[in-house]
Amino acid sequence: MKKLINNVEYDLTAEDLQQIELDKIEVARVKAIDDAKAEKKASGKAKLIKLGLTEEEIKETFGI
Amino acid sequence: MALTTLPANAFVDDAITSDKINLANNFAFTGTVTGTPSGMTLLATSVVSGTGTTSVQLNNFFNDTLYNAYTIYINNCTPLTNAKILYIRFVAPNGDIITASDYVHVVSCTERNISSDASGNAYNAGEGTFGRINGNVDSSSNDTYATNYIMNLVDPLNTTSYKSIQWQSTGIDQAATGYRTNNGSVWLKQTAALGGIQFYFSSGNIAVPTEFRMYGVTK
Repeated sequence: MKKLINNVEYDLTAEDLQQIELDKIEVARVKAIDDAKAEKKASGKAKLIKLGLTEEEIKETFGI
Repeated sequence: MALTTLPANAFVDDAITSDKINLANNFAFTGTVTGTPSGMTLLATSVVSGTGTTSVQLNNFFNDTLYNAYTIYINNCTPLTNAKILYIRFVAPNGDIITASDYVHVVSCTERNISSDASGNAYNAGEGTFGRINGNVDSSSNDTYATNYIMNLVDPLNTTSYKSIQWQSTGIDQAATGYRTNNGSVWLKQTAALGGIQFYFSSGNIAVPTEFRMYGVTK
């Protein structure tokens, strides 16, 4: 694996590789938050459909 | 008789100065003119080759004397594997990547999906260790649907204000049905001068034909 600095390729250092591992943890943490938001949105939409709104009405009214 | 054309060997050197020619005159050059630039000046180009590039940095091009803003184009931005998110981090003047949890980002997206429209936003709660410059949907690895960016970074050398970058992009989803226009901002809640910027995907590498170009906007 390489990093491109000012169009010159360098091998990743041990520090770079360590940072990539830390980033994986952070990306997973952020993804979990985003997934939870998406689940709430889907859940809310499902409840609105149960209340009798159509997909089009929900989209026009709530943008989801 | 007045001259209408200066012969190529009219000057013994290639330095045209006011004692050799009237610099107040107007000239319609058809060749290449070099000298003090104005407007936008290309400062850096980085072109991804092969399949092993994890990140790209544009470092040490900020110049407070000549420029007070920088425009970055990312052409045909494509992850090597599908469904990745492009992130940035700023780089300190000594070359260290700034990984402190001081980044805030907001993203807004408008999408056309065949016969319907949609919108989507993304942001990080609190602060994070990177800034997201991707729309609310992952980037496609199909370079037919590559994402194109334009970004503006203003006054990165100032030591008074938090740093921020504004960006806009156009992207197409993997199914080639969703066409998106995205825009957003990333802030770094630090006031120290910057040395550069780093780009990387949420995981995996950056693919050909991704190209990065940084221009300085002349003061």
